[in-house]
Amino acid sequence: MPFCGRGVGRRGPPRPATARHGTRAAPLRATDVGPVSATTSGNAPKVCAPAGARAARAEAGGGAAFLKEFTARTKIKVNVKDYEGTGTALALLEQSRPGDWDVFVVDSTDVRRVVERKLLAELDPKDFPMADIPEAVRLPDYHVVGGRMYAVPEKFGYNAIAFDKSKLPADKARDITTLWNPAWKGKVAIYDYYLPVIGQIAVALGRKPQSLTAADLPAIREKLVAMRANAALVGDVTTSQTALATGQVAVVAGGGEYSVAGLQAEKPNLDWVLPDVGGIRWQQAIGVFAASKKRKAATAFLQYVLSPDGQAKLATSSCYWGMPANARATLADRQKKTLRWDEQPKFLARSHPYPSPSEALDKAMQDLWADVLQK
Amino acid sequence: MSASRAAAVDGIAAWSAEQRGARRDAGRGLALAAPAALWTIAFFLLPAGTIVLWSLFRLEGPELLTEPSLDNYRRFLETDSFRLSVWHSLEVTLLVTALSVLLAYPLAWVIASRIAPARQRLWLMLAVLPFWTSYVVRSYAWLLVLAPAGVVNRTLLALGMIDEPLALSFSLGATVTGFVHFFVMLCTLTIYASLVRIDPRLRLAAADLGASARQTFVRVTLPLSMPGVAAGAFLTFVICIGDYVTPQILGGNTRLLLPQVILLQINRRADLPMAAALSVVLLVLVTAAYLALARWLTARRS
Amino acid sequence: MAPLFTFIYLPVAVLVLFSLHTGAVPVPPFDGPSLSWYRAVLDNERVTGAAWNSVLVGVLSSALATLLATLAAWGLARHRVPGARALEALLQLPLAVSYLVIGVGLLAAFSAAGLDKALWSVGIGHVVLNLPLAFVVV
Repeated sequence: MPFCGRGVGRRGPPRPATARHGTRAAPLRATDVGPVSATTSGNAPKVCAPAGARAARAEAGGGAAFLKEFTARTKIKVNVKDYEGTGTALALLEQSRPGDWDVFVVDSTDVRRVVERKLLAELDPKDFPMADIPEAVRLPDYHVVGGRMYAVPEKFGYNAIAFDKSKLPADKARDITTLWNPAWKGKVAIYDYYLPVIGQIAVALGRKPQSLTAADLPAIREKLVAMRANAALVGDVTTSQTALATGQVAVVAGGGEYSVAGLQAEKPNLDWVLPDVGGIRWQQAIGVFAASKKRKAATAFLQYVLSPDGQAKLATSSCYWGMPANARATLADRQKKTLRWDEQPKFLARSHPYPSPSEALDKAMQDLWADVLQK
Repeated sequence: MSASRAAAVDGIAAWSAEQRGARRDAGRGLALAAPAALWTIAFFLLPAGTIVLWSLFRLEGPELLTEPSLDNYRRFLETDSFRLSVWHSLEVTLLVTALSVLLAYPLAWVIASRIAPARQRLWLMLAVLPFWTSYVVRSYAWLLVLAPAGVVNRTLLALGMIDEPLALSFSLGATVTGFVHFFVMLCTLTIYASLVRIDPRLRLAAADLGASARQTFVRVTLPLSMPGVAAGAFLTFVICIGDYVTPQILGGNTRLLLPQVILLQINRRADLPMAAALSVVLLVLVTAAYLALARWLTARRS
Repeated sequence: MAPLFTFIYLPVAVLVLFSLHTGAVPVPPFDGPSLSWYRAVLDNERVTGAAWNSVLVGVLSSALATLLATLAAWGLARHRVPGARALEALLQLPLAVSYLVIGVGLLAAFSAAGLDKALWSVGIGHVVLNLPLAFVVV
């Protein structure tokens, strides 16, 4: 069954929908220069999944193991296609025929957009363990449109602080002002994604990312420039992760469990935390395409993804971990420690979803980001 | 009278036969060159024209406005980050071109003159072997070499020249290093090719006329090798200024270069018109470089 | 000579060395040698799939580029064609333009024509890039 969705074991949040082209008239397609993989084989399900940031490293076998398990249990083969940015996914879907894809994994903040395009099928909450999903993650505002549920939370994580314990004390890591503290000049890496980083600065300034306006930008710019002056580099997931691992930098702004969890076994000095002022949370949801011809198989896959077992595997697959949406995920104690399982209620309370700015504000933010990068 | 007329008729017949032959010849030649020419026209000229056309369009929100306007160019001139990227690109590219040529020339010269002719090919190949490794991967390898715990820093530490590892990666210097590494090999090839074509008798002649080794080099070898130098410099300039990979990997997103800005327009904004306009700017820079080096580049090889 | 050769081979040497490293991150100290990563690469379907695609595109596009270039070079060298110089200039033009611009151009053209991007479009781009090189050499 073709399953169009986010990559299992995704590498951090995907690029934003760069092109908000709603109409067919728009000839432009937001292109992805990132990794794309598609394996199709006849009747096998096709999954369309975001590849996350421009990581040049191929996914280690973990993602494949997660899918193999499902195939072993149900004899349904799953084919995955990664994409970068919801805009790219929408373009891809526009180019495909109805029925080409069965399952969609997409940013929770974009579910409404996709539903407005009439792409997703309605889901029955009774089919899924909704009660096991923490309330903050369930986010009915995002997943339920017009009283109907169209997607279920799949995985979430944080864009917060990833750091090297041996270089940066944990209490400094929880203090957001470390990022622009000149004492750490040259020891900071910034994750190259404007939405969560700007969101994080907004939180540090006491504003809610969801309610940012153009008037907030100058204050954000000030902090961003200070952070940039402190930073050794601005990089994608792989670059910032490697810089942290090689000791080049001590902290990654916008990093999170996704950047260090996979490496902790080998490098126990790497850790992550949510700043005390709060941070940004990324979240993915999974749904079934309305035009899918394999609804039963697709729903079975969704159920596998949300099962405690499936969730545990999904959360810890390959090199990029995340938090399972299902609180009953069967994670080992060591894995739970890595994911700061005990602190989750606190983190969930103190974290905010990505900002979802209007077209104009989005453009202004991107301009701000490009401008600061050039200095 | 009739004899000359006959001769004239013969002449005309011969001439027109020659013409027909030439036309057939030309026809055959054209037919052979046609596929390549058509391919270039279809997949290069037309897209190039498309770029120029699209640079006149604008993207307003999700809509593409196809009314021709120079708005993108105006934005280019007005936006700091765009202008800066051109400036950074020129800086880097000129520096890289100069360094590559300066380093490649001695290498090419040594191979061309100090090594036995039979083994020159081998040494040349050895000198440029890494050229054939993947461009992307080589850039990542440089990250490893320049890392705080990498070879360079460890050597400097061991030699006692520094106390703490230097931050070498993710900087302009790292980008320049990565570039120079690649282009030194390219320039070595072109300069060698040109050095080897210099008639050795010219050097002998100069020596006969009483010129010292240095004078021979400056007055004879160097000028005659300029086509190779120019070719290497031109290729270096063109490839370097348009390259996105190396600065992206080694530059740490500090001081963005023009190609990175172009790709930002495509990837994050889906703003193809703006990307096209910036590409036209790039083309203009390349043309300027060509005109500057034209004197040596258009010397036809016989 | 020697320093230059060291400079030239340095990254490749480091690369090869760390491909035999056992750890997950290529950080010294060097631990190994081990072929475990080679095995991981060969086991990874996506990597081998991508590698296969690269080989496919590479071989086909170079074959096509060489074929077209050889025909053209033969045609222009062995026959007297009017406008030969113009043709030669045309065929060498893509060399002088960076691959980025060629890519943007093809992207714009294909988008406008509503064509899908796939391996074959990549192949076309490659032929455009390699044709002039082959032409000059032949």
